[in-house]
Amino acid sequence: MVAALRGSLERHPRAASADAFSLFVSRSSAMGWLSSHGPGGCWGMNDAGSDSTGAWFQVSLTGESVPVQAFLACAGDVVARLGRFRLDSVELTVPMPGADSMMGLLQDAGWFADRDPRLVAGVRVAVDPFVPGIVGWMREFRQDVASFSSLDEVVLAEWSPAALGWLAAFLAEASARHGVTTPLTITASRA
Amino acid sequence: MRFQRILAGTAVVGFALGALQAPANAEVAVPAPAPVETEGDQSAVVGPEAVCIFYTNGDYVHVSSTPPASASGHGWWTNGNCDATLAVVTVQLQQYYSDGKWRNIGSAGKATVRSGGGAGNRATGRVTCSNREVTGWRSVIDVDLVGLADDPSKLTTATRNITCRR
Repeated sequence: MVAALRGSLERHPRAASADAFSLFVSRSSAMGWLSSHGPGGCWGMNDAGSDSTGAWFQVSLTGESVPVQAFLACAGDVVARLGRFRLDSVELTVPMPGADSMMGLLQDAGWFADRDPRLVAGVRVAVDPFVPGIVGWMREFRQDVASFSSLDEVVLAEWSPAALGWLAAFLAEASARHGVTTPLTITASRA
Repeated sequence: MRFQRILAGTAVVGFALGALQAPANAEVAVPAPAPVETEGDQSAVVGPEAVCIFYTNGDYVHVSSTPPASASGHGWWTNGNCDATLAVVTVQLQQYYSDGKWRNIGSAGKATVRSGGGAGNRATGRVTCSNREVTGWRSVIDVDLVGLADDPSKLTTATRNITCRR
């Protein structure tokens, strides 16, 4: 699973000994997401990097679940730790979930309940491969995170890595339900 | 992560994890996907009472995101209470073969680094893929503290089947 958070990253002057890789290892370990040669965890670390345009992260999943929201939340924590970051877009490569994940997704959506209406953001999304039926399928579910006119017009609860992670997981679930078996490439940018 | 002890007053006894060679008249073994439950050959820690503690750490071998397509793995160390600033970290990649054996592939990545695995403080083992067949890989990571004797045991990372074959 790979994510690139693109925009503008101004490193803190004090940020010298740690980098995107070590921070991602530490953060995902602290949150219980990192598989460290033993039981537990969601992913094993592969690689990460950053420059003035943002940061990227690569992990290998160690279970059937595809924890995209956790992955992007961790990435967001890391870039915030590195410096002042303005997020313009996210590019993701996401494997298809191995099992029905809708119940978990609907539960996870509760994080965005009572959202601040001032944070609502318009988002453009591209999905490859794209199956036309996924938008209508996603519209059937009641949740507080995203509403869809089309993938060019998505209204997101907030422009944040966590919300984008939830949206990506929802898109992966919808694509899997419509026969996609290959990893999904998702690009989301502010409208 | 592997927890290791420094052996007090003991000379360093190091050994190399050499390639395991099949007999000349045996069927030729070829790279292959590995059973996911294959365990690493971690050596036991044997010695007198510990003086200080450090950890050996590394990530799973993976296909590098930067071209050319390569199997890649990182290694680093984390200090507990050892009186050492630097360590020589070595990362040797191994490929799984159809005869059930692991073989060293490529030269070991080696770096003298500070504790923590932060910026510039990781060693990298990397082998360019000959093709993209699914193949079993793992890495063997050794940490030698600079200025202190430590035990020769190494961390063997978990097996990963990736789309890279050498």
